[in-house]
Amino acid sequence: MEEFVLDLTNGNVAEVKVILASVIAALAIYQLALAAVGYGKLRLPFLANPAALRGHRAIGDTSFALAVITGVMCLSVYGFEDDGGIHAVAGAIVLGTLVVKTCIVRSDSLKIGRLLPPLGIAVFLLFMITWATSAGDFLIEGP
Amino acid sequence: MSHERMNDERTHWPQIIGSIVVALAIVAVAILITTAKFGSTSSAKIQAREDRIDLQEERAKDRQDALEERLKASEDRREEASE
Repeated sequence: MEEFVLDLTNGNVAEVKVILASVIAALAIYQLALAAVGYGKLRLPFLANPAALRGHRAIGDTSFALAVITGVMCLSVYGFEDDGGIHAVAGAIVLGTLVVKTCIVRSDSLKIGRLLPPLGIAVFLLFMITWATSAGDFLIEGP
Repeated sequence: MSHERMNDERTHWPQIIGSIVVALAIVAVAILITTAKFGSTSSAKIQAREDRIDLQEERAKDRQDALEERLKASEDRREEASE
């Protein structure tokens, strides 16, 4: 797997990972805004609540796929490093939380939709922590 | 799917597409900002340097070939003149 990732990124694993993580972080901020519109916390004349929620879901699916790819790349090349404690824990929890959130969204039988906003905020914060402890460091301090 | 929900989705299509287009723009800006921070990647630099060296070697070889041809031609001419 490590060889495959190295081949795929032409040896620039860290750079590709930083770009992917930054894209996910930027999308997470946008997702927060879309959710705020969807739940009526923020009113925009040009975006209705259902449209915002549909967009939120479509972009969320893409972000989830990107997060899984980034996580697999990270684990296969770097593993659980000693100095990456917070990053590894936040990354693992964010993926777990995303899976739970997606299950709640997709399942109509589970009547726990009220958990979605706090879960969404938790996912956003965890994404930001994961980004800040890897890509943020990398961008500010260099490789 | 109920008729109400289908109608709702139809009327909101432009807004849904608009929100996705905005997301794509955000992705493009994020990629531009991060890649600008890196500059060209190390492999790209190595590739560019190798291409430059290849080009220089090719030009040197061409010059050498041209020089050899000129020398051979002048030798031929000298031989013809001596004959």
